[in-house]
Amino acid sequence: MKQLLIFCLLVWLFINYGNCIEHDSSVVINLKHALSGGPNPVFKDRGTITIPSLRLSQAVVHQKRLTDVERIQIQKLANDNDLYRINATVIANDEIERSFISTIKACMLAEAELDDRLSVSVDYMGRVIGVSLVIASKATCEGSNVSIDKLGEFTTNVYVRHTETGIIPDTATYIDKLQKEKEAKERDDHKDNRSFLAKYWIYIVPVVIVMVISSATNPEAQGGGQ
Amino acid sequence: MFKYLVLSFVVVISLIYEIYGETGIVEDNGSSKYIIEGRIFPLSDYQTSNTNWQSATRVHVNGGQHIGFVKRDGSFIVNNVQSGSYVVEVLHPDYTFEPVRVEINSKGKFRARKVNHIQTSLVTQVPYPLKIKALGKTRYFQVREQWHITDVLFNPMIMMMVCPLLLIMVLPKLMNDPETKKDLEQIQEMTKFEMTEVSDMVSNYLAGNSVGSKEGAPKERDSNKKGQKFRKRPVVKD
Amino acid sequence: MANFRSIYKIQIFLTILVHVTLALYEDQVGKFDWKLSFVGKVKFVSLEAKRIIVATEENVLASLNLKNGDIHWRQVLEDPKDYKLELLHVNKEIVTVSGKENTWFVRTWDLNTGTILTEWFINTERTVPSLFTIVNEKLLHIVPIRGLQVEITSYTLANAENTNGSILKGISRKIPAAWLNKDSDCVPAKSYIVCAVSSKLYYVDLLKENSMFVSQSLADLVDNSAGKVLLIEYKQDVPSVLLLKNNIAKLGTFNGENIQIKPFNLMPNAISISNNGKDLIYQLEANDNKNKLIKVKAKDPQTGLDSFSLDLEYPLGLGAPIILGGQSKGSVTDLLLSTTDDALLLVRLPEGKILWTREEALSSVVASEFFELPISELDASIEHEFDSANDILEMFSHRISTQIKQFYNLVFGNNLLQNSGLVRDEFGLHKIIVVATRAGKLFALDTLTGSIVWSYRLPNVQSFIGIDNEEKMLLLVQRTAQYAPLPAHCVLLAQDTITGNGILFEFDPITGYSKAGIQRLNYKIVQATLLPYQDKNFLKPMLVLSQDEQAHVYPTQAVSLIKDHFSTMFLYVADTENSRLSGYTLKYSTEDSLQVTPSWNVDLAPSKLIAVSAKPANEHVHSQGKVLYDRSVFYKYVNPNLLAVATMTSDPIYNSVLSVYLIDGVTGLIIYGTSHKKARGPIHLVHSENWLVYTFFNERFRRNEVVALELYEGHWQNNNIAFSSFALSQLPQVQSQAYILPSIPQTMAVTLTERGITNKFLIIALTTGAIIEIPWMFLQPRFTNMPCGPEESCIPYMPEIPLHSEATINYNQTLSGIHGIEVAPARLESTSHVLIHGLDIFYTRVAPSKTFDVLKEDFDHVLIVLVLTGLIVATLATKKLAARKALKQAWK
Repeated sequence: MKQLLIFCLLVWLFINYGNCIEHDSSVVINLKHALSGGPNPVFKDRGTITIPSLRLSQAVVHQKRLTDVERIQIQKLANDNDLYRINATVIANDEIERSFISTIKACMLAEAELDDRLSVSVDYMGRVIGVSLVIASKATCEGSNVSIDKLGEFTTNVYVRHTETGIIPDTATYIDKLQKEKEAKERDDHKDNRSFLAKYWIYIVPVVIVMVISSATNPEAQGGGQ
Repeated sequence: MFKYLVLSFVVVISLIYEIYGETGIVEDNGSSKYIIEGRIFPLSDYQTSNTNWQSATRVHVNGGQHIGFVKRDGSFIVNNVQSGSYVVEVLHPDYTFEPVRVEINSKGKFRARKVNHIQTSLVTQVPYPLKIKALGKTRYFQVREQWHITDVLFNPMIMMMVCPLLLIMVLPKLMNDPETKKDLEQIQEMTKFEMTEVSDMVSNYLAGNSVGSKEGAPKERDSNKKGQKFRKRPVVKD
Repeated sequence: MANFRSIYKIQIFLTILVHVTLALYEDQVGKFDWKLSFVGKVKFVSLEAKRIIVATEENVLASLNLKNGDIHWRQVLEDPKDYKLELLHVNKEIVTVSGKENTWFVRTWDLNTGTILTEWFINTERTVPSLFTIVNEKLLHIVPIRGLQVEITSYTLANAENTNGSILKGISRKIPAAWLNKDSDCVPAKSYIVCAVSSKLYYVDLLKENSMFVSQSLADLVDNSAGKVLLIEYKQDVPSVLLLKNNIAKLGTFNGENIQIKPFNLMPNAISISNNGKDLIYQLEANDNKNKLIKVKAKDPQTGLDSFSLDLEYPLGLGAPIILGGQSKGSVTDLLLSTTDDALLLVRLPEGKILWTREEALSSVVASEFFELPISELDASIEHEFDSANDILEMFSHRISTQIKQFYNLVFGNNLLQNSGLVRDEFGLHKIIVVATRAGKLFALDTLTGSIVWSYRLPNVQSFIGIDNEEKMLLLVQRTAQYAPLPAHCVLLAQDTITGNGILFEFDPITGYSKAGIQRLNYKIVQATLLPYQDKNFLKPMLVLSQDEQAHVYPTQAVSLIKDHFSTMFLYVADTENSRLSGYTLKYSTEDSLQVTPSWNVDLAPSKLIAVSAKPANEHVHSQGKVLYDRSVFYKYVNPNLLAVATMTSDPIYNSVLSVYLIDGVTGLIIYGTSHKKARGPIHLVHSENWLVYTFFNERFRRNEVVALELYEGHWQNNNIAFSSFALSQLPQVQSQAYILPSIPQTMAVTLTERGITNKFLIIALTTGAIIEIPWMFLQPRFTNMPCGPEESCIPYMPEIPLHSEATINYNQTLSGIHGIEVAPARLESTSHVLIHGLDIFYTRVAPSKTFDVLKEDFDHVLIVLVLTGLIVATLATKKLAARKALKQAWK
């Protein structure tokens, strides 16, 4: 009983102070790609990605190695500076299917030797809103010629990107600052109530010394002179 | 057992309160309509007593969600207001008024307080029905920097130029006056006297200390000699 | 402790410093700003001696001067989207009823000053459309309930009970009317209610106690021909109504339980004006005469004979008029006409002169664009010197001749002006603003004076309904006026009122001349954009996407120009119904057939899309990065293809949640997303350079908050040659910060300058009617672990943005019903043009860093000249004195 309650407490704490997604769910993405270029692509199966928990952002990727025919097709796409498209069908916990398409330049994929990244964007509720294919690279290309043995299999990294919680104005530090300012002012007020002499003694004393010395020697001089 | 029940109860209650947030009023979509009323006191200057400031004044509740107009005696009402929290602003092109937050709870009780966006739960209550006074005439313009003659005169560069110039021109004239000449000479001697006195004293003191009391008598001699100093003979130390 | 004190002091010092640089000087008022006030399309009118009281569709009550149409006073009531004016009655005071469905505000106003006298509130349970009328000092609320009855509630406004309370109390009465259905059409006729249903006419006299509806067959009254009979209100001393069938109206007067139809035919817009007790029917008829399009006729109500007929010289540019009201005094009759393009004019009879016209279409501007004027002929001729670049002699003679012309101009004045003053001035501050209005009329306003240069009426044209039910039309600039003698070319894209298909209108923005006229297309327009390639005539082609995913290029010959660039052209479409964003590429288009292929999509359902914002196309980013306190550069992430999308989700726990996403428009990658719980609209987005600013209402703390996001690449720049959305090596870092805005924003915009060097100001229009400017430095997100002070040109963070009254750019000219702000760069780097439109139009120029590239206005020319001459004189004098003294010395 005790453990159950503690567990409930922890879960409640986690829900409220843990991460951004409201309802965690697991998601299965069926990936298809179009290896034939042109305006009417034909999508063929590429693999499946299972994300057991969107909150924990870990994904299990199952992809087959590419057959020789497929490799030649990719090479041709890259040579012709054509586009490589994927069609991702996302099946969430509630059995709703959403499909997303994403396009990249085939030559970039070839030059990266099939090292692509999949970005799965999730909104605050935990719904998948977009699936995009990205190749990490510093520059684009206009057609490339990559040898077939480099186009072996896809090494796909899946990144689940959450929607961050919105930022709120930082009023706490401002209020603290005002408080400290008020206190400092009160303290300063008291300080200023000390006597005038106490404040400015550092200036008054040397002047007094100089005057004393001059008057000490002056009467002698005056007395001596006249 | 009982303790655990209490703990779970506390957890549940805190969950509920978190949902409702930190406002003191639970909003409901009641169908009862209330009226916000108040009175505006403008500045009693020439302009307001002559023109029809009432027709140019508007009362905005929540930025125009509800609008009120001002009658000739300065009072206004806003109809069709449901329960909730509203910011009431009085708008006039030439005068500034302070906004007020009016809260109507579900039972129809009104509470008016000052608007504070930073510390939203701070309550500085203000009388209801609203009595809004004009804070002042709105300043829209910046005053142009005027050119005053003091800007030129007190400019340090100018002062550095002009004061020595004056001194150069004025002092020779002063110098030519015989009496002032004598006075000046006296003052000069005295000050020079004192000056050397001090510097001598300091150097003697420093030298004297290292020698010790042996110099006690020479010190006295020195002081006697100091008395003769004004004859303009340099003191030669033996 | 000492640190905080000094911080606070510096803070105050800096805010004072900053706000000192923002304000206007009093003598600058009116020099470069102007304001035009409007009332909206007039619905009800009442003419009183020297004043005209109007109630408009924009829920505005105003009093106009009869002689010149100027606004004497104006009261803007609630938002016209929700509440509409239903009744205007003027006797000794003005009574208005405005509201909707079941909430009505009854207000009485003073005729001369517009001050409110009393206000009441009617709250009923019925939400069917109802009528109001005033009979014998009683306000009657008539509610027809289908299939049952007509409920009439009568309120006595001057009743003692009603003067003290605020809820109006009245006496109700029900008259059975089971024949009421949705086709029934009821109008009031003084103390009668008249309804026409199928083939019968029902009427009842309300003044009689316990009266019931009397029915009469319409076939007996009007002819037997096919067609529905419509009823039109006809205001006369004797209760009467107009029965309209097949565009012919017949007048029927009531007498007890009888109705008498007059035998003569009338136009549907006939009104009755009484002149010293004698009534005359006035109506407008179309005329065959091309110069005088409208004929005014006055008929005798008993016999139907024309007692007066006059051909009016009706201006060609105005739409078809109807008479709203009129008055007669002695021999002079004034008629107030309202046209289909929302203009209001006053016609004085018997001269038939139009005294004044008010273009009220300008009260609802939906699109605007700034245009530079062409250079003057003289300046153009100077540039022609290089036409014959080989012949030196010819160039020389050309130059001499232009210089003689310039000298002639200087001495004898400008006789060579051919363009009637529409030439560019030195700093490019004289521009033409072309505005498209909701009524389908185009206007061109002069930025120096605010006067209308030309106007063009487009019949049957309406605006597109965009995201969040915003009405907009597209104005695309295909060629500016820089390429004389080629005229400037602009295109307006809108929707046809009847079919919903697209409308293309090409015109010259400087003169308003259109060669082709309105082109009605046969497809619905979904997206349109201007392409950055110019043909040999410096014309930029336009790409239009239709609803069935077909792309079209205008002008059609431009396909050959862009055929090499198809692979770099991308389009995006935002579908508000399904909350989806889709991207298309034109890669597979050929010169013969243009094809769009889907390339990405983002699905935001079930959230609702409320704003999509792309960066302005003519924006220049001047600096590549920000210099930090340790002198290192933090590079900015400037992505010209970035879209900012805001959505609102209704959530059972958090009421409503606002989510803002930054999406790349070419790849569809969501670069950043953030969500605010318990946030409510209205949302305003401003997207520029590498930052985004958005405002929303925080329901938890009940305040308006502003969030600023800034994107940086980091300490190393990715690719400083050409930006590509495909080449992404790392995601940009996002710095964000939030602030509290103490007032409620209506709309926001950011200043644009030609080279982007000047600081940026955010121009925010508040619901109070003031427009304030906030420097971007105030809102720029501060770096958390870096000092912020004057050395780093950083203002310390303050959670609440201070709104100074001196930062109001429209000083005491408060504007009502602000709809949008348009900003355009001027040729001067330091200045931006700002146009604010809504119920009023206000134009001004803003200089965010003060006018650093122009001599200031109060430059002391006089002082400098005086000082110089003084010094010269002093030098000469001292020279003489010194010489004299030297001479004297030599003689000693």
